[in-house]
Amino acid sequence: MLYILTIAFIAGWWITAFKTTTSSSISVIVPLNNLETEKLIGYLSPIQREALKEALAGNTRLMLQLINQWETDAEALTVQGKQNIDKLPSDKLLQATVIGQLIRDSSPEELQRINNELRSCCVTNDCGHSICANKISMKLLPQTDMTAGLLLALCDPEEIIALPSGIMNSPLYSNKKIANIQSCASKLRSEQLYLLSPDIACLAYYTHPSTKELYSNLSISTYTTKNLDSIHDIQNTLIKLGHLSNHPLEATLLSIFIDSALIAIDNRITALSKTPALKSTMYLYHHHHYMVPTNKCLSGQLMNRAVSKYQGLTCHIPDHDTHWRLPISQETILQSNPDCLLLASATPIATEALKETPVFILDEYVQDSPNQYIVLAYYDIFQALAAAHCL
Amino acid sequence: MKCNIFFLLLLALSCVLTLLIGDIPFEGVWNKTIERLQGITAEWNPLLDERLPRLIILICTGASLAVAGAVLQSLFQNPLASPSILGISSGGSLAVVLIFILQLHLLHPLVLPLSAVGGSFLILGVVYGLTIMQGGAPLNNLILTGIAISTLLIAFQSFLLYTFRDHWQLIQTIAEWEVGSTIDRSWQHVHMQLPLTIIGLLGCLAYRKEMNVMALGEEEAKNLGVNVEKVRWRLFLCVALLVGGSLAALGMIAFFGLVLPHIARRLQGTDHRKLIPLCIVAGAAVLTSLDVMLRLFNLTNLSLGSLSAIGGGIFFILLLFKSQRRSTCRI
Repeated sequence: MLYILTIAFIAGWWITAFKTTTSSSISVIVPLNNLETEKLIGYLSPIQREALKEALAGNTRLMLQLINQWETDAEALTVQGKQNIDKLPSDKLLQATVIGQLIRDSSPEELQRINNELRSCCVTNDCGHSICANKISMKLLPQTDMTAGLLLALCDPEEIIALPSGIMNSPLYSNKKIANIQSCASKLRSEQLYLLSPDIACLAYYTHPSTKELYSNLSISTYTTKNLDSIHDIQNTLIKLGHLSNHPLEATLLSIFIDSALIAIDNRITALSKTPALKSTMYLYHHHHYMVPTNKCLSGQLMNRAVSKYQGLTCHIPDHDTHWRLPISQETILQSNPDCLLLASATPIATEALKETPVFILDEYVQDSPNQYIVLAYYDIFQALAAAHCL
Repeated sequence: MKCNIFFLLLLALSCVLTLLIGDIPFEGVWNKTIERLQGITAEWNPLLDERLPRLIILICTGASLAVAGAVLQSLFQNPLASPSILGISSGGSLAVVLIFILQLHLLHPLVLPLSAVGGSFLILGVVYGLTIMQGGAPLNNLILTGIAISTLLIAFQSFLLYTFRDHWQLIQTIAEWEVGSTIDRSWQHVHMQLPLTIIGLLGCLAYRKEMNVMALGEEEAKNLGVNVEKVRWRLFLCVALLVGGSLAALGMIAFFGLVLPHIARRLQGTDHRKLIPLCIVAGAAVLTSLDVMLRLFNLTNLSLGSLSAIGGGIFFILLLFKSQRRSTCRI
C-alpha cells in the first residue's frame, strides 16, 4: 500500500505538472529552408544555397559565374543609389577571371603542369616548420575536418587517401567525391599507413605525440594547423594547402570566391537595412543550456560583420580572448529583448523567456565549419535576418 | 545547536542572494513580479521563472545528496560510502547518456528524469538481486557487488562516449549535463525533482531511529526488533529517489554526497535524529552558497559540479591529514 501511494504521488505530480507546462513553453520557431528572402531585393540575382554549396565544394566554373554575377549586382545596387556597397578589388576580379579561364581551357595534364610551375614547393605550417613537396601528384591524408573540407574542394578524390569519419558522415560534403575515398583516417593503423604511404598528412596542433612520431618514423611529412580563428586564417591555410597539394590556382580562386561571396551577402544586408525593421537580435547555441558565441568564435565574428552592415542593429557578442562560447541565462536573454533569436542547434529548443520572439534555427554543423563552408554559415545568418526583417 | 543556526543563517543568506542577484536589477524584477502576481501580466519573469526555481532545485539537490550520503555511510558503517558505491549514480548517469544518444529527451521533458530515476532504481535492483543470489544481503557483499556493477557501468559509458566521439554535438550535450549546472533551470526541473525529493527525504526522516539502532550492528538491531532487511531496502529506495532526482535536475555533483555528511557528523555526532535534519539544512545551504559564489564572482569557467568536486576534494585531503595527525599525537 505504501509503495502504491508513493508511486501514485509521484506519477500524479508529474502528470499534472507536465500536462500544463509543455504546451505553454513554445516560441515561434521558423525553419530557414522555407524562406524566400530573395524576393526582398528583386533586382538582384538570387543566391541559391545549393549553388553556393556546390561552388564551395570546388566547382570552378560556378565560382567564376557567381563572382561575375555578384559584380553586376554590386553595380546595380550602386545605380539604385545604395551607399556603402562593396566590390571585389579589380585586381582580384581580374585574377579570378584569368584563373577561371585557365582552369576551364586546360586539360588536366596541362593544368597539373601549370600548377606545378606556379606553386611554392615549401610552405610554413602554423607551428613555424617548413614543409617541402615537389611531386606533381600528391597523396594526402587530412586528419582534421578543417583540412579535409579544404582539400576535398581542391583535389581529385584519388589524391586523398582517407578522410576523418566526421566528414564521411556529413551531409555538407559531396557524396560523389566521398564515395571514392574508402578509408577512414581515424581507423588507419601503422601498417595500413605504410602501405598507403601518403606524401603529406595534415594534423592538428593537439594531435597525440605518439601519432606524430609514427608519421615521422614512416617518413610522412606532416602539415600542422592551429585553430582557424578568422576567415583570414581559413584563406591563409587554403592557399598553403593549395601549394602543398599542387593546386595553387584552384586554391587562389576559391579564396577569391570566399571574399566575393561574403561581399555579396554584405551588400544584400546593407540593401535590406535601408528600411531598418530590426533593432536587436541575439545569436545563441543550445545543447543542454544556452551559450552565446564570443568574438573569438567564427560565428560571433560573422554576426558582428552582419550587424555592422545592418544600420542600427545590435547583437550581444561578448569579447573574450580564450573562450569561443560563454553560458548565458534566460534572464540575460530577456534583458537584451531581441527582435529575433538566431539559434544554432541540432534541435529546435525554444526559450520560455521570449515566447513571442521568432526563433530561427541555424544548422550548427555549418555554423561551426572552420573551412570554406563558413560562407554558407554567413548566408544562413543573412537568410534569418532577412526573414526577421520581413516579419 | 550552534551549527544548526549557522547553517540556517547561511541558507537564509544564500536564498536571499540567489533571489536578488541577476542580470536584471531587482527593482525592475520586483515591479514585474507584483504585476504578474496581480494577474496584470503573464510575461516570463526572472524572479518567478528563473531565480525561484533555481533556488528550489539547489535546496532539493543539496539536501538530497547530503542525506543520501549520510544514509549510505550509516548503513554501510563506512565513512567512504557515497551514492556511487551501489552504482546508483552510475546507473542514473548511464541511463541519461543513453537517452541523449537516442535523442529521446526531445520527445518530452519527463523522459530525462524518468530515465535518471529508472536507471538508479534498475541498478539498485540488480545489485540487490545479485547480492541475494549470493545468499542473503550482507553489507560486504552489497558493497563489492555495487563497486563491480558501478565499474562495469562506467566502462560501458566510456565505451559509448568513445564510439560517439565524432558526434561532437552529442558529446557537448553530455559534457554540459555531466558538469552539473544551474543555468536555464525552470519549473520543469522543479517538477521533475521535487516529488522525488519529498518522498526520499520523508523516508529517510522516518527511519532515523532505526538507523541509530542499526549503527550498533545488524545482530543487535535484529535483537532490538528492527526489521533490518526491510528498513535497509526502503532506505536504499529513498536514496535512489534522491540521487535520481538530483541527476535529473542538476546533473553530476561530485563529492558532495561524500564530504558533506562527514562535516555534519563531525559537528553533530552520530545521532541520526539530529544528523539527518542537519544534513538537509547544511546540504541546501552549502550548495546554494556555492552557486551564489559562482554568480557573484562570475566564474564562467567553473560549473557547480566542478566547484563542488574541487572544494570537496581539498576538504577531504585536509580531513585525512588532520585525522592522521591526531592518531600520531595519540601514539
